[in-house]
Amino acid sequence: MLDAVSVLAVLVLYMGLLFLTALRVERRSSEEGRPFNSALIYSLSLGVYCTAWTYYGSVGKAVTSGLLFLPIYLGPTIAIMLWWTILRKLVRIKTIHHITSIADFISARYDKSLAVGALATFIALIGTMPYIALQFKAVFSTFALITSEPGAEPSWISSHLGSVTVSLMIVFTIVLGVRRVDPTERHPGLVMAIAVECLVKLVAFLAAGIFVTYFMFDGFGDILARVRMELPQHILEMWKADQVWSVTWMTYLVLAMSAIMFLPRQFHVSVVENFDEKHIRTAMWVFPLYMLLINVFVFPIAMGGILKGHSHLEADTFVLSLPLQAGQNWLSVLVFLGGASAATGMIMISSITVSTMITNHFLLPLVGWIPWLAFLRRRLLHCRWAALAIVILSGYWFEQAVGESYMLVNIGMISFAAAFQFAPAILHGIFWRRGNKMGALLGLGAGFTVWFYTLLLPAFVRSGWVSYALLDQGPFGIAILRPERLFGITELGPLAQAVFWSTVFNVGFYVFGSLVFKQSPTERSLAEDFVGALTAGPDLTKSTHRESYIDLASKAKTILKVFGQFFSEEEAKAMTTKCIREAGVEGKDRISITELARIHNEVERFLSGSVGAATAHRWLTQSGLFSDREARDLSEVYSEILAGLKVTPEDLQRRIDYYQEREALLGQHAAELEEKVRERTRDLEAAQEELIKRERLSVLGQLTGVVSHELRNPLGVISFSNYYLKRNIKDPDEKIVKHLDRIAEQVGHCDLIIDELLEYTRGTQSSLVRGEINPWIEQVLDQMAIPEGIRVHRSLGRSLPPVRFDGEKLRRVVINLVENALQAVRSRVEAEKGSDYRPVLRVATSLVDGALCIEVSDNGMGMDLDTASRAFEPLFTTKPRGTGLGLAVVKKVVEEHGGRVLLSSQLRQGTSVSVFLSIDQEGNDQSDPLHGDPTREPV
Amino acid sequence: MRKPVLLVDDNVMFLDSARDVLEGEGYAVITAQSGEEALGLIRGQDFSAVLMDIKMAGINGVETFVQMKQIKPDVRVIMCTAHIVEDLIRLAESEGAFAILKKPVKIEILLDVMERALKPALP
Repeated sequence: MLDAVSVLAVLVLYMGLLFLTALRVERRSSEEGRPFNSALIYSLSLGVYCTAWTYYGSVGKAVTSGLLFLPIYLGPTIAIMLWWTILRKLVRIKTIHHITSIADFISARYDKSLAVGALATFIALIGTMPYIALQFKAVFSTFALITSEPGAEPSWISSHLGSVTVSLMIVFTIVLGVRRVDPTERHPGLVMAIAVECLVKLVAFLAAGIFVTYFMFDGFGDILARVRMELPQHILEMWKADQVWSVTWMTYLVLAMSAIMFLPRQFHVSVVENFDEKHIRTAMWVFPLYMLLINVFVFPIAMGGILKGHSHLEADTFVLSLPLQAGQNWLSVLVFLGGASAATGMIMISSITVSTMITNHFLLPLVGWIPWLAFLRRRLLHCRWAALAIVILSGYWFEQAVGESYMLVNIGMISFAAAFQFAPAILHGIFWRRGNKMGALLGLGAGFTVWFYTLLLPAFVRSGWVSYALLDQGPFGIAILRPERLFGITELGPLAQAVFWSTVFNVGFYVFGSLVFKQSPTERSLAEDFVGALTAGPDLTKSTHRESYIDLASKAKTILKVFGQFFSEEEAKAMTTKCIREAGVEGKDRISITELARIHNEVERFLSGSVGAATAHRWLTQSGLFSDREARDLSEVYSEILAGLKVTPEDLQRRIDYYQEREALLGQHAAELEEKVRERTRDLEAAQEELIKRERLSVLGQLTGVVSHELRNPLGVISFSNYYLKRNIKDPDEKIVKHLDRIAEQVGHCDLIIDELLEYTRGTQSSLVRGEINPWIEQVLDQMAIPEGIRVHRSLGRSLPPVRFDGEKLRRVVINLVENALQAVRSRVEAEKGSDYRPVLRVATSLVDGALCIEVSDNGMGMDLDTASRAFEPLFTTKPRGTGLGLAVVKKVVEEHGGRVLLSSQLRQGTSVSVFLSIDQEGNDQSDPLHGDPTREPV
Repeated sequence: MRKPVLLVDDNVMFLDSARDVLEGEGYAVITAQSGEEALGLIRGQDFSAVLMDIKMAGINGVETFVQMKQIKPDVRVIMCTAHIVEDLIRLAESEGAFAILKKPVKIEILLDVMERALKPALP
């Protein structure tokens, strides 16, 4: 016998160790960004199925009913074969739809119905109550056992064990599992703690078993032999008394098969806490192994106790009492710890999941209806704690009210039967598309009612809460409605018939409801989702963090605070709204992590504009806009993207830099190219024009060449004939002479026209020959026919350097210029007849600015501005007759020489045309410094 | 007694009109319509001057001139042309044509050149 304080101390220490382990796992999980636990941990955690009931009660059942304890373990083992389909489906659906509890699952499947969720929660709560009571009962009795000193005063702890245990349970549960509100309801630390507990209880039980079998007896053989020989009669009779043994066995089997999946705590550890479907495979062999190991010594311990003379009524605690009475104190403590582990594990998981259900499916809907409860929304965590306390306390209350009168195993079966009510709704839900909300509601409701009536109520009766008359005579004396003998079926025994009827009503109403009532379209799609969950690709499981689970309102408040640091309240509000709008999440209740990232960027951008990037960044980081979890989720999103790109972050950074540079360069390049293209286009267009012009000219030139040749011959003939006539007409009168002269003149004129035409349209073959300009000009002028009365001054510069020029072509130039000058003075003579106007022409050569200048000037009529500006235009002439090509030819020839021609004129004053030619510098073709557009005249 | 002048041109009108004029001025004129004809004639007799069109059907004036020189090296040939074919003119110059006139020929110039051509070469 040990003292209470030390036992309690050991327990607290043990729980403390569990807590630290859990904490470490949680830290590792948040550091690594993903849950830490392995497949083994997951599989072990499923062992929470074996509670204190298993631990102690299986031995009790073995004593009272022989091998009836087996189906409780066989059931799950068989059910595991179905796990790969059923469990995987449940897990898949959980991930896609963010299921957080069994009530959540059922509600989600049936059109997200509040009613279904509430009903399921209610059933879970009521169903869990007895189970928790069971754990308490086990803990209390074993604690009393381990610390009892016959005759001694019960210590304070012993007398207040209840309150102490309950308080400790509540505290430990909150600390291990409900420190935050986690949207996915995954608690890697808690799971680790549970796994450790399962290990501890396995080890403890095995230790006890080994002790009993090999130390108190001589092994299995020994016990078996002794049983055959020494088994007390009353035991055998007890076994035989159970007439409906096979039925009960079957019932237990069925209930256990459903329990491994549909007990709220089993659903939690096997479905909700699962984060990798592959772990299920591991569980499929680890869990049966665990079951086997923990059962191996049940029968030996049971028989050992009987053989040692203990009463069958104390069989529930054989596991502890045997080592204890054999004086093995440490072993006893270990056994006690094992049992406590089993109990606390169950209580923690069940209370957490049921409190979640209560909060989500009872409380929040209630808050939705009753406005003044709205404040609770912000205190979700505290509500969870309250719900948790309620669950644990209700279990405790049940234990106090009923626990004394029932054996452990019977209480446990009541809970199993409650969990079984979920089976039709869930199994149909994932396999039958037509299962609908009404069906679920009716089925669950009916099943639960029957369960309550046939199982729970009798428990209350048996504990004295309700009058026995109900069991004995039925409600209002209606015998056929007696709870334990419903509709007259007595052969099955109370449990079996309760299960039978509840199932009949549950399934019956479910099917009825599903067939009669129609599904809404949303429900139909949900049904499709659920039933077809396994056929959908596994990539759907990755969508967790892109779903909208983040509360926008609270993020908006954070943003408001950040803005509020720098701006007035008005402005901050406006900015917050703007950012939310820019991110495209206006009006949403909940947002996804990517949307949050978008908002973050908007805010940072906004803020940077006002306070600079660095400050903005710092404030935003400090503001905690991203919680740890959200930051994790975001990096998960990025990791996914990276993984999809098959590129490391450094790689990505490098590539981005590289591409950004490239983009900048390309942009520059493109601009440059554009400019070049524009230039080239311009050049091309100009060249094209030039080409077309030349083409035209060349054709024209050829044409003209041919035409002029053809014209010149006849002209030659005409002039000869005309000469002949002139010479040979005897005594011609004036008129005849005039006409003959005219003919000659006109022929000459034609010739000039042809000349000009030819010159202008012909090709550019000027042969530039080096020579002295002055002698050449003298010769040209000499050959010209200058009319009487017009003086032509020659002002030829001295020591002029030689130039390269085409004598013939330049001759045409000089001739044209002189002709024009003559024309101009003639006009003036005409205009100023009678005045003392003296027509003067001047031809000068000089060196001007390094170029040879030939100037032809006159004091003739001159031109006005318009005429002057058009003077060099081909086909432009002021003369009544004339091709208008004269100056055009001049310009053309001069340009061919690489020179320049300038014209200046004043009306009624005179005109001066200057031709600039480049000096020949020892064979180099110098381009004229004045080369340019000669039509720009300084007037 | 001056030797006759040879007119070579494929334009018959021109030959006719020119002959009339030149004869009016006191020249004896013989005409040929082609370079070949001219060559044939010059083999047979001497001319004081030859007036030859450059552009003709058959062999052109310059070619004819070159061949004439081989027959009668001292022959004085005045080329005339309506067409300004640069290289031919240059060729004619280099070969020693007496003058190159542009058609339509100014009569005065023609007569003047003729006179000069008929003057005996200075020793």
